[in-house]
Amino acid sequence: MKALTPSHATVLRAVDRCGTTVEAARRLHLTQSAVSKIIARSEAVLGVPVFERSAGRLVLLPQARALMRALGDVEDEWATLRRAVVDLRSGRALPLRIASTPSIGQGLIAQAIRRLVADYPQARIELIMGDAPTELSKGAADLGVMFSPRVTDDIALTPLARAAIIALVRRDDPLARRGSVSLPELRGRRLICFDREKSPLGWLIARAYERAGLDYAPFMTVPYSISAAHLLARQGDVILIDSLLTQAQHFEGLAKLDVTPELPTTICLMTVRSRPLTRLAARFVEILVGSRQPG
Amino acid sequence: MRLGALQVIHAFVRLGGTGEAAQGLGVSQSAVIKSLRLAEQELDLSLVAIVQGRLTPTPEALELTRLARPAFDVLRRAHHEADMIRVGMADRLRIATVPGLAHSILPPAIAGARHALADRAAVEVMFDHVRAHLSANEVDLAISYGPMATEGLRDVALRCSPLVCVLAEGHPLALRDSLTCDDLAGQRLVSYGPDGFSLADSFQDALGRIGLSGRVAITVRHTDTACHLAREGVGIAVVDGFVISSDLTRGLAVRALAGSPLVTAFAHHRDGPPLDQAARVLLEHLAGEGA
Repeated sequence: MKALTPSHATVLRAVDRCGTTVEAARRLHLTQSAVSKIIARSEAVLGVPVFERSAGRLVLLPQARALMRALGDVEDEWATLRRAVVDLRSGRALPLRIASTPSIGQGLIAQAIRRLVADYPQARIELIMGDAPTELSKGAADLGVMFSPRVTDDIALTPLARAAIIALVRRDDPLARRGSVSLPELRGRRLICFDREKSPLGWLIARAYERAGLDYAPFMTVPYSISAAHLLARQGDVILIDSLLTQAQHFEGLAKLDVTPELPTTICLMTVRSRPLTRLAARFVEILVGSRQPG
Repeated sequence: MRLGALQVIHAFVRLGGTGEAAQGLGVSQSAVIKSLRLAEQELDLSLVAIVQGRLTPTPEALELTRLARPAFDVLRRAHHEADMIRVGMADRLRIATVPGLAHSILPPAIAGARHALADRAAVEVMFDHVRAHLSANEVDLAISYGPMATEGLRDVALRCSPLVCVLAEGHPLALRDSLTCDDLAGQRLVSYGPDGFSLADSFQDALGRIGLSGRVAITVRHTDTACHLAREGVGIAVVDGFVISSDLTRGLAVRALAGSPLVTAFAHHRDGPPLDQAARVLLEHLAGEGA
């Protein structure tokens, strides 16, 4: 069955308002014959007459009043839909949801977002600070960016950048004057670091401790590097975190030390293999991958 | 934005693939793919992605389909209005009802109103989505078990009734004049599920207050179903007492439920222009004033 189209509804409504095909055609920037054809086609599709001719005018039939109201709703709803398409195109309707950690969010992701909003100034973006694989799996995030994550088969990993584990101590700490420190030199220090089970970085650092014949026993575990930096309270405390945080943010009163031998880690982009990306998310991936550091 | 293109996108999303959409629309798969690609260009949206070797709807396609639903609904309604003109029902009284009241207070009220109007009023009854139908001006009156408390809609309390138990006449409990909640322990109970839109569904409220909410084993939508299940001996139907005025309980035992809170039937209409005569007369009969 042929269907009435929204443009048919617009023409029928215009004729109802104007009373003549000439005036309706003028308002809609159509020819009069086009308007007449659309009326005839619409009446054929609907299977009922809508207007009657009276004294040179087209008058709505009394029984078609409810139909004309319904056609008004068609016009309104399709106008709403057209506006919604503009929102979809601009990235306003479907936000880009990125699950990450504060240190990656402040550096790598912030730079990529700056480039993304140049292309999509109206885009909505949600930065989710949570466990990226979990957020991706449950559909709460479109993309994840994390340090060497442990993921299921459905999540594809793309290496983006390298970072390393660094130590932060207070500036009044004797270690602060040195540029680097080894793990055995941290023996006996109060360590603020990640949980070995909950964080890939915690697992990496714990393994390095074990290789060095040391116990990995932080006195306080934290979810994010930034939390650790804020919790460094007294002389003798040491935090081991990723190097991205100090690249993105300066911490007054704290000194950075390289850890020797180096503990490298990789920042990976995570996408769900079985789930297509929005155009906004796909563009963000292009930006991230395009700005990948060599090596 | 072409209607045909949107129909193809809708079929692609709903059926989950281009082959399935082609089958559903009765066209070739290549025509579907071509139409989707054209729609992508026309709308400047990404609609199709290749995921694990298969053409899959993108989130934009899913969202567009969701957003287009009201637009398709109003188009369907315009066709429906044309159908009503064709069958001589352009001028009709349109009523939306929850299933629980559809076969109890509504039929006698419609019969009474039509009689009062010398059989002039054509009536169209719709089920479910009562508030949506009323807000969208698809119906003139709606009836449900609770106030909607929605701006632009007026709630009218119609009448109250306690809950009753409907059971097969051969059921041992049919020998009693009335039943208590304790009598119903161990019995399989049949009743309605929540209507999902009332601010306070008085039927569910009554079930809850008498302690039966968690004890309903079979939820049904229609009073008829509840009565049929009781007739088949599947269980005891706990319904509102409005059912007594219908024929549904013929051959069944209807017993009062002691201590039952009252269930209130509500009518709803839009604020603004006054109701036309047919709607006013029906409203009186629904409230029991026109009988």
